[in-house]
Amino acid sequence: MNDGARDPRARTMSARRARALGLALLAALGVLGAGLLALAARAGAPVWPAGAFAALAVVALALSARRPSPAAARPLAFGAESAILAELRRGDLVRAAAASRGEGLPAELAAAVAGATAALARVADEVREANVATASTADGVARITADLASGSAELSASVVEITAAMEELARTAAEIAGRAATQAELAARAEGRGVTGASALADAVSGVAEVKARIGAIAARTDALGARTKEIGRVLDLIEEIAQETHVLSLNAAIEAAAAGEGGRRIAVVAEEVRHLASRSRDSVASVRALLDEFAGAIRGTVVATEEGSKETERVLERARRAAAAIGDLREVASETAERARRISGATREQNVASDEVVATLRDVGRVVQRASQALEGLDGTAARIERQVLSLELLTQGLRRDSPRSLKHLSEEWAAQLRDLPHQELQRELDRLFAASPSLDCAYFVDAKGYTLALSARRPVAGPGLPSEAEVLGRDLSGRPWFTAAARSGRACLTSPYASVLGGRVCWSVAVPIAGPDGALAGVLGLDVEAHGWTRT
Amino acid sequence: MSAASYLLFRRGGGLWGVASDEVVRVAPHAAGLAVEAGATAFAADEVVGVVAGLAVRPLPLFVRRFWSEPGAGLALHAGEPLMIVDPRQPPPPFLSPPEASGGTPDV
Amino acid sequence: MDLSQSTPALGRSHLLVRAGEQVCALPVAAVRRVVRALSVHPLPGARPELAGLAEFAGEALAVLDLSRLLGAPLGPHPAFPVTVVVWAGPLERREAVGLAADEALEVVLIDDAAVVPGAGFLRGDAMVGARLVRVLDLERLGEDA
Repeated sequence: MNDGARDPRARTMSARRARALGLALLAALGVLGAGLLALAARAGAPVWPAGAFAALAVVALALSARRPSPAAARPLAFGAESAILAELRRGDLVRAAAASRGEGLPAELAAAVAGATAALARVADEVREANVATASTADGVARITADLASGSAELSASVVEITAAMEELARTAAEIAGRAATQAELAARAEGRGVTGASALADAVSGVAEVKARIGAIAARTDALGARTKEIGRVLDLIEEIAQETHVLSLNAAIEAAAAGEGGRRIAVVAEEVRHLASRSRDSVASVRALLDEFAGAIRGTVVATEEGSKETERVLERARRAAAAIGDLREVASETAERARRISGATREQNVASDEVVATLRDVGRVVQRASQALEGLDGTAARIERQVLSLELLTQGLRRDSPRSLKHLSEEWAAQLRDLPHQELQRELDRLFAASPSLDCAYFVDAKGYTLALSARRPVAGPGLPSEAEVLGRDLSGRPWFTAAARSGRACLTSPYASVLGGRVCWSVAVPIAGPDGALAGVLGLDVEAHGWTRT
Repeated sequence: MSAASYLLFRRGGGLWGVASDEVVRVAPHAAGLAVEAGATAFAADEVVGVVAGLAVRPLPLFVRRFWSEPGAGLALHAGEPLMIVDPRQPPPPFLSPPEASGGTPDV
Repeated sequence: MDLSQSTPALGRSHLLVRAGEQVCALPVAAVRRVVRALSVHPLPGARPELAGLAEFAGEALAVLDLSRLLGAPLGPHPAFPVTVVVWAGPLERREAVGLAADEALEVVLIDDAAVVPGAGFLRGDAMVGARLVRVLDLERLGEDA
């Protein structure tokens, strides 16, 4: 190339081209920058992407600031420049770099493009890696949150249990206290009755003693009567004696009178009268003696009765004394019971107070746990937000095709190149081989131009109970699917938006790349499914 | 017979007398005494004494009717009746050893 | 007791005494005295009818147990036993003898005609009031001894 013979028009064109490139770069960086800002807002986000970003921004500004130089004039490789721009716009750094290596581009432009695309690619990779770290962190947070949540749930449950138990305890203690109070009252009443009983008993005892004294008096009088009776008996004996003598005397008189014949008649009469007198005396004596015997019998009876009465009163006294002793014991027991009841009352009151304190503390704990749970829920939300950010950043980086196994667009383009010319029967085998080498993918499938599945590789069963049958999956017409139509239309790898997989509802997205046949027409579409959670952590 | 004096002794609840001339001696015998007179020894519980001037009557009909032992007569001393016994014809009951005092009739 | 009979009352007067459960009639003519039971001193070896010897009016006399003489069953314990001093035995040799009885009752008149004859000492039986009495013949007392 002839530097001196530079066409000013070429220089102007190169300056214009540089500016356009710089602007395009800025656009790409602007998209990345948003993501980097979001990343920088997270703690632990690596610092250097910001530096790289800044450096690239400077380069971009420099490029865009270059004014068109009239001295420079070079013939435009217009097709190559627009191709680079187009590829850059599309985010396809690989094609952009390839285009820059094509002919007709000034060396420094080509170098700048190469450098910029390489830097972009690096930035994208670094952003992705940082994203992965963030995703792991988010996972960690989610795990901890889950642990905390379950822990706090357990704690809540325990608090509820303990609270219930404490309340139960408090109720039981209250019951015990109540019963103790009743006992104390009963004991107090028993004590009172004991006192009454004791005084009533004392009265009874003194009454019995009085009876005993009276019985003693009766016994004494009875003895006196007995003695008098004996005296009377002796007098009666004497009278009887006299009567008998008189009787015998009368008989002798009668005998003499009989011997005296007529002269003894008057004596005989007198004798007879005397005999009668004696007889009456003896009869009287007999009556009196009978009465006396009765009386003596009665006296003896009285004596026996009074002796019995005396014994009985003794027995009553003894029983009364025993009852007094029993009442004394009862009073002691009652007073002991009352004392114990009072102590129980006191103890249960103390326990009540303690229980109340515990219950109050537990309620506080419960409230704290509840607040923690609410905070955790918030945290859970945060984890979900982080997850969403991670997904967004990932999709963002996936928007740039770059030469990396982590760039799905690149991966799919590479696979497409390998599958392009294979006959249909070898497609499955080749697809399986490629799929096995990429464990991070969820599913890969090759559909023909009409949208019928020709090959399918998947990590999870796609057919079975609850799932579509194999026949349904293979041979189904997928030409209406958005990824099919997008790929077919754009002619290059496309990303779908995230969606919920039919197989388990997990967040997935797909990359679809059209495959052109030898004649350039659409031969088929290769699709790769990625499961968001797993992909963002590899 | 009527001797000048008689030795009186008690035996089996009754009072008895033997002519003091006939009495040889009075000696202790077993639980009581023995009044030895002639060849006889009368068992005695107690010796009352020697009494003179006893009016001895012959045994009444009814004593003889109901008491077959030989008795010398009846007398009275200090208001108490007593039987006079003859040592030559001692009533066997009086000769029994002191343990067996013969069929004392109960009245 | 009716003493205004034409028949000499003495011959018909009898003293009724109880010996054991038996009431006897003793002819008053033979009765010397009724006294409170005399203290009797037993004669060892005597038959049971002979209670023993007693003193009466300065004499020693035999006392016979009337209930045993009669063979009468023993009666209730006598409250005031008596000894009836009688003249007994053959008239020419009658002696004073005491009859121990449980009770001396009364003097009554008994007609000979009322006496149902017995034998010997037991002259016979007669009804006196509601009582059946044994009339004794004291002259023949101890005849079958």
